[in-house]
Amino acid sequence: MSDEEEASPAALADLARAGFLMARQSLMQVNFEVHHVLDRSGYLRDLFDDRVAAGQSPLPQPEHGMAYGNREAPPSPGQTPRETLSAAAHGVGLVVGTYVGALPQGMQRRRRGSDLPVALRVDDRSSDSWVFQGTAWPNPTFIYESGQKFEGLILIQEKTTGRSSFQGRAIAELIAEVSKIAAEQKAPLLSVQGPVQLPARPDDGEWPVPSVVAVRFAMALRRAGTERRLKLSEAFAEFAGKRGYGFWRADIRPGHRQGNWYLVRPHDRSRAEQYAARARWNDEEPRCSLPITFVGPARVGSTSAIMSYLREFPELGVLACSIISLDDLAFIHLQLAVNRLPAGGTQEFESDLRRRVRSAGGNDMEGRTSAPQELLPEILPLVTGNGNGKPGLDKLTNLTDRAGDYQVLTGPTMLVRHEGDDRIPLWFSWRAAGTDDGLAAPLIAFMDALAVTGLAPACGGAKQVRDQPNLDYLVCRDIGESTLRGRGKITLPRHVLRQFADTRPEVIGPRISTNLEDAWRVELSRYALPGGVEVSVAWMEYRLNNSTTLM
Amino acid sequence: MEFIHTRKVSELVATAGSVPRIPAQRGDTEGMGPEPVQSPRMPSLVQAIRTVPVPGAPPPLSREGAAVGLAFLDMALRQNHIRRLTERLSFVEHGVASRTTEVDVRLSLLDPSQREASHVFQRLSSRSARDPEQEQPATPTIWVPVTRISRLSVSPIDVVDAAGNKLPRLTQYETSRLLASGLYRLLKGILSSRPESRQPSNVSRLLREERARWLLQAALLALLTERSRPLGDIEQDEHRILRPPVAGASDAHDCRELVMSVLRQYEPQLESYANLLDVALDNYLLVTALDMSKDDHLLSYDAPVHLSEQTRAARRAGVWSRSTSARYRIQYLARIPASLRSYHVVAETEPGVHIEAMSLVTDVDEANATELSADLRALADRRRRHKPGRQTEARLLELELQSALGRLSELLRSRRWDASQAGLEMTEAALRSSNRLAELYLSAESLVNEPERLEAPLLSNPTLTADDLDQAADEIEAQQLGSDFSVENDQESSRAHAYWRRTSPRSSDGEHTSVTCTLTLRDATGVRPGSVIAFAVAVAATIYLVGALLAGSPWPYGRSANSSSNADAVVAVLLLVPGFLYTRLELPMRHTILGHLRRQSRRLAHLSIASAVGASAAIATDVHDYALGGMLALTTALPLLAAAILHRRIVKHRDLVPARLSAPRWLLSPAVKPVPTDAVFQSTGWHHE
Repeated sequence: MSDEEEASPAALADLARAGFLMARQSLMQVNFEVHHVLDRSGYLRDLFDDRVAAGQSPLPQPEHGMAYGNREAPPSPGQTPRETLSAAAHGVGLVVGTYVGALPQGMQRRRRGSDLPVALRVDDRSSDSWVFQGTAWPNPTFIYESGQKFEGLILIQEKTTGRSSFQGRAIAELIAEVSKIAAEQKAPLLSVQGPVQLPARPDDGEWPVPSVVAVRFAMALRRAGTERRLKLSEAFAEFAGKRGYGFWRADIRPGHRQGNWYLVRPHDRSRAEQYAARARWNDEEPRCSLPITFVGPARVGSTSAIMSYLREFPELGVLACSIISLDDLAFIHLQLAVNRLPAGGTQEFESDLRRRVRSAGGNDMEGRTSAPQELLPEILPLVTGNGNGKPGLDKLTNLTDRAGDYQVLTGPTMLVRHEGDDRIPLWFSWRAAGTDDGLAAPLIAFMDALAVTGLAPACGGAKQVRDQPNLDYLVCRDIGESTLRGRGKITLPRHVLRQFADTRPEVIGPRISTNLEDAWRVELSRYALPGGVEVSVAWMEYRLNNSTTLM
Repeated sequence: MEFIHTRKVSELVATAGSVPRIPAQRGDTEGMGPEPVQSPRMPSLVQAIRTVPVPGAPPPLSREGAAVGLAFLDMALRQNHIRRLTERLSFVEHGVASRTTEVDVRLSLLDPSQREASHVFQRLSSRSARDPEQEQPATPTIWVPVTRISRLSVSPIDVVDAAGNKLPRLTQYETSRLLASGLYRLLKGILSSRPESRQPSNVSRLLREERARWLLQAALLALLTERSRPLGDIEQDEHRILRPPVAGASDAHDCRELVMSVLRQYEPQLESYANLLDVALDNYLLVTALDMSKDDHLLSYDAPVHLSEQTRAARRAGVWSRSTSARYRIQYLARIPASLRSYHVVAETEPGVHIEAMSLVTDVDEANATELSADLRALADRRRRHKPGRQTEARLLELELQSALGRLSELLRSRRWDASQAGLEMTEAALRSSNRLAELYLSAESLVNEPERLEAPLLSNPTLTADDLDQAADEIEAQQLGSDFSVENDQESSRAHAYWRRTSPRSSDGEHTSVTCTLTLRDATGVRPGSVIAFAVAVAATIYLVGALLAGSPWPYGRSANSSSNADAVVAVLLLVPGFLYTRLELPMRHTILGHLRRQSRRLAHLSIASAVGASAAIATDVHDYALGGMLALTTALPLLAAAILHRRIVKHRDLVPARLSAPRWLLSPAVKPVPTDAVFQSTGWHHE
């Protein structure tokens, strides 16, 4: 964040650190890897297991490292990612990771002596798992103080009874609004995530619903006073109020932390329904989705430029989104709803899509990469089924100005799958200091701990997806001083509660959490990690004892 | 430890140059003619670009060196490997102090990438291939930045370890070359991340044209590696190169203009880069080689402290105004890096002088207090405009109100605990509104913690008015609630130490925390001023006795005053007796602190001698009658009067008041007058606001 005020030494040190990480790279760029995959339990774990097994990482392999799923040779730069985001929604899984260090050989070849980002490599050997690898310029001045941010949560629909195109369109409209307000306030957007868990009510006697149609966002606001915070909140409250959405703000009172929410406006169901009816967003529910990820230097206004361009196609729905900045790169991931499939079904759609992507990318077979201003006009009419959409020139110029140097990663088309409501969430977090394996080892140990405590079936594979624990959300980032902090949410099938006599969350929640936390510690003790790892498991986000201020 | 406040310097430079701060220009500035300098953020760089010859070949910047330079800068700023900073001050003479800084370094707190950078540096800097088996050094070393020293400080620095061995350290030339490489890479990285770098624009031209890039590299290299840096007036720079009068642009000029226009255009984006450049320019990094086989290291180095100008001026003005204090008051002003966790000050004095009290005041909560008072004012304003019935607005206001009052209550609590620890009372009367608001918050806590209640318990409280909020904001500022206070509680001795620690290093704002350490010293030799008073009385008595004997009357001050026919003998008595008695007085040397503490005694003794001399002179010159009587009366009365005044003042100054410890205003009642200081010390490059 390049603000006018004097930066703290930590912020200056962060800038120097960003420069250092960049200068270490042969290209002065950050290597990244994005996976668009069919969501399945244990994908991330398999990925790490493979990397570890490849012997590239100094991580000691645990004796019973169980790996299941298809073990295709990872097109890896040979190490586990540093900062990582993993999210899953509607049957689509996303893994984003950034790496530092030398450019892998394959990429060095593709660089062709240019200073520009290396041509993207797409690994699409399997129809439901595409892996994109590339490099991008980071923005080293994208510095924010983790303590000074504005967080909010807007609930669109509390109970999804009838699914239609409403949910997707409402999310698209909401992300556009959030990013627009952030850009107007010159506040860097730190993260946007949807769908998310509803703020928990401790006295409910019910397990919180792990995932609802809602969007949670955080933006950096340095030295923002009451006045600026109030103006921002009022803008969001007005937007939510008109549509009957619920609006929560992160509780900023002393003694409260991440996961504590303050209700500003309750959800008004009848008004939300009226709004949907008025907007005539009640068409058929989309059956397919197209994951799309924009990657580029993190900067203020890029999400807004992309979203305002997308909103030129009002019928476009966004089923889920994960926007985050990792290692000074912005990753804007959207699950675009495919409104209408051609007669030939998914296959025809896919081949049409490939054709369009190729033509936009200058027929570059190897690097199916393209700037958003070239690719979006090609594919959006196809996705929305509206061939007549003609976005205004100003939106295109704005897109080129703010996000013209972004890369777009698209595909594959996936079927929309809805998780059942019979799942319960568990939050977990860890902090690992002074180790490069601060991500893989704790995560693998956590998965093992799930199996040990009986919360996950001992062996995966044949079982139904719905019977397995699933990683809904995970973010792991470097919070400076060689400390990696990760936090995530895992959902478990409700039937795991059957083993307990009393299933009330306030009784069983702490018990499961403590049990799992202990097992996790035991599993972790098998890895000799230098700095030690602090772990925490809780059934509500704010109960995580090493709760980070970063999302 | 000496640091220069970077923003301060740049401001100084900006004001010195009287360059108005013009907002950055956006958009295309290509093809512009000569224009006034509009880039006050990086004046040194701008001047270097203007004056350094455009190179014809790439300047020698190292790519690997860039990573090392930036890693060193990161370590020096973050100081994650520094556990504690101890400053040992020794006050031996009046106005003279020495300081030894001790740094506790733990190598295992360095993160892997920082270690790697140090190793890369080791590899880069070795000129000969080392046979790994034969020439393995007995103790492997690692290069680690220990501190930043102001460039204005010229004192040579020896860094010694706990055993007293001197440690090798990098020359400033070596470090600055690394920094130049690093800062160039960073600048290039920032510019490359702009979307315009992919489109036809100034920045893409700069990245493409190698001569312009070389110029930028040469300018950074010159700035960082040369001993001096430009601090002068850039507006009136004689070397300014203007567009040549003849038509046809020169290549060199184009290069300069291109670089300058890019710097101007991206001024807002380069804000933090400019801050970082200032840090690199204003400070030397002290990089030492530490033994890697040991984890914890205790390093120390001498760093000079200077008597501040204000002390000297105050001393000249107030020689007589307060020459009778029985306490010697010293202030030490320091700035410690905002990332530092733990800080100790140890003070020592000469034997015979005890440190009666030592206090430490820091502005650690200043940013929070300023923010809080601004928030309270904004809330007062909102509250005045708020109309009942607007539920959403009420909810939002309530959240902000609770947050602000919660922070206020926390601030008051920590100040109250500070006061209680020091055994003092807060000035509650001056904090009436703040206290009331904090009480309101605490009493409503059970209501406000209900997450789903759509109520506004504080906002709907009729006793909480907008004026209360405004008053509380005023009180926070007026009572300096942003400054903490701690006082040393040990037994009084010639050594004292004060300790301070930060609760959360990440949350700190600004680059430094200002520390004011105040010491009051007291004479502990056991020599009472009584002996000087007795001396003065003895001199007065001698003069009286001589006068009375000469006059032959118990009242020698009238007409009967008479001089002796044997004036020589009388003068001898008048001079010898006080002279002998004076030698028996144990008066300390003038320039010592003890001498300063007992300067009243010394002055009294001198006055007494002068009286004796005056009386002798009057008798020797054969003055008669009233003149002699008057002279004798004067010379008798003066020592007695001065002795009485001294006695009275000593009695008066025996109590200990917070004012003497430079306590913030929340500890001082408004009636207390500021107590003057005998000496104020500060580091080089320390700008006191």
